[in-house]
Amino acid sequence: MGDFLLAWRNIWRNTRRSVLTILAIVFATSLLVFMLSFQFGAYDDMIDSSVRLSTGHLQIQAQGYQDRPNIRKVIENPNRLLAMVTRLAGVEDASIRSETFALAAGPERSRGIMITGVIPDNETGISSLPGQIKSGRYLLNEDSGVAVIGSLAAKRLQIDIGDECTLLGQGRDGSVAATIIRIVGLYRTGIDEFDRTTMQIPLSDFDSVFSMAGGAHRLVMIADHLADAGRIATAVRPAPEATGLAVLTWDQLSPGLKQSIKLDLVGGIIMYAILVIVVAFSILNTFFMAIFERTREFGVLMSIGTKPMRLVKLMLLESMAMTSIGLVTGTILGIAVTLIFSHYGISMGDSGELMAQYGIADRLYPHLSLASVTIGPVIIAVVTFITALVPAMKIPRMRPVEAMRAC
Amino acid sequence: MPIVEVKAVSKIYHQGKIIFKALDNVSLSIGKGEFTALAGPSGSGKTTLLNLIGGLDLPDSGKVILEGHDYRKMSDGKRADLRLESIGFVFQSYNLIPVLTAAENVEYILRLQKVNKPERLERVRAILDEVGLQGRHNSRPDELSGGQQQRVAVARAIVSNPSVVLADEPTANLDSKTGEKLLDLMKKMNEERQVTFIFATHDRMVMDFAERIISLHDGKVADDQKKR
Repeated sequence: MGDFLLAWRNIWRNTRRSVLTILAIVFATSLLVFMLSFQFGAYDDMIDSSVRLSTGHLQIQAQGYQDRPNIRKVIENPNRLLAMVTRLAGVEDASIRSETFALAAGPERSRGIMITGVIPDNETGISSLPGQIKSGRYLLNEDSGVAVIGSLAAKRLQIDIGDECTLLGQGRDGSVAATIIRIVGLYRTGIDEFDRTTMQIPLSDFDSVFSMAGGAHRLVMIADHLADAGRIATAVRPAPEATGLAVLTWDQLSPGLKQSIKLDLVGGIIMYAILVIVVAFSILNTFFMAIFERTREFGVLMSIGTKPMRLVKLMLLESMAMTSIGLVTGTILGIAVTLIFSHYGISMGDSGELMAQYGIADRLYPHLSLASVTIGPVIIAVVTFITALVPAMKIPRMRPVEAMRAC
Repeated sequence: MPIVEVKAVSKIYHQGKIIFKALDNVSLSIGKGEFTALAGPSGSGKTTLLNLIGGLDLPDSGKVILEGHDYRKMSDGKRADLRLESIGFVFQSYNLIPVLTAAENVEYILRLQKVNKPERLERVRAILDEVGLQGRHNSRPDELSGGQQQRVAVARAIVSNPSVVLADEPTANLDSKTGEKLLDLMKKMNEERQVTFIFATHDRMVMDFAERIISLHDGKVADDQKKR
């Protein structure tokens, strides 16, 4: 009959109250595990979708290009840099892009458009765009004089697959840049703004049409894991090939995305804090009631020689035993629910359109991770321990004689 | 040499603005192996005196000395240790731990004393058999009669081999027949083990069993009679 056994039996003195307390912990734990998995999963999806559609996990650019893009701010020797970064551990794929605004003209209409020069074969590894061709085909490395264009842009220009389009802009050297390209594919990403204003052509064509003289605007990298981005950036910055260039991670490239994640996280944290406080009050109530009900018993135990701190330890053991049951059950339940939804996904309903702005599907899939499984239970364990400590610390202040007079 | 010495002890309680003098300059000494009753009507101060002898409370003035230890010079922790090693308590309402069996209740004291498990189990079995609870070792308090619960309480008080057992109205909740059997048991232990028993009581039967009766009235010793 050790202290743990005594604590265990004490828990079941008031079965209903203990079960309700444990259920509160189970509910809070499972909800935290599921919600954190859902939130972290959604963030991963948002970031992954966004970086794969446009920015990549990291980019190398000329200094100042991110804030004030200009065709003359270029990476002078991008191929040497590309060879260097592809050798780095943690870099899954990399490629070079150049971009500029130009006037695109169809037979009837003309519109301003963002033209991006890409290396087609490399682009498949760093971007989801080649997989979002709605009709026609994506660019090939051997292509010349062709382009793929956003479906909405094509509609506005009243052009389709096989039609020609005239591009008119300004070259890096200030000269007039003009060419005629033939449309070979239309893409639809779900992001209307992107689909309405962008076009891709082979980088070799871009280089000659816009007199880039081998320069490029962005070296885009995809990391093996999102978490590797910072480490890769740190590795690239001191390299001689990157001297004078800016190395930017996804959160610097898409500050709006990071801010929206932060905002969402803050909202989540407030909700979780309320949840944990409710559980804390439940524990607090249970233990204050236990202390009041057992004051006389504590007086007797102290009178026969039990040290008050041993009784405090007993109360904390009771708390931790109840908490442990709640945490283990809640974590298992949370994991089970998360696994079910990670298989079937959760429909975002009307929010789907909003999510599409970040290139995210209308179903979100929670991702179990060590963080999502441990953060909630650890917070609840700490809070319940502290909460149980508050009433338990009344015991050392009890005088045996007065305690034994309690009803 | 007395095992308990009470020297000029006073104890005052404050109930709001009312001051109640529970003990007023009480002095007495109790020797080893005595079977003594502190008698008196309600409010006479007998339970207060018992609590002071047990080190559960401290006097406002005067000294209480148990086995040469002056409680006023001891910390709460040291007094708790002294209670654990030297004093057994028997309460009016038995006050067993409800979630523990009879054997576990008795064993609890020995666990506090850090007695090893084989010795604990042997001593628990022996004392429960001695108090007549064969076959009830694994019963919870709510499965035992009042008399049986009080026997467990006596076993708990005795199992640690204390010098003194303090019993506060131990027969008050028992019928006379059961109370007499319990007193027989405690008397037997007093004689066989030379354990000092001090009762706070107004039960005539307890006083009949007692060898010495210290009568308290309004917080003062009114009479101190030894039968032999």
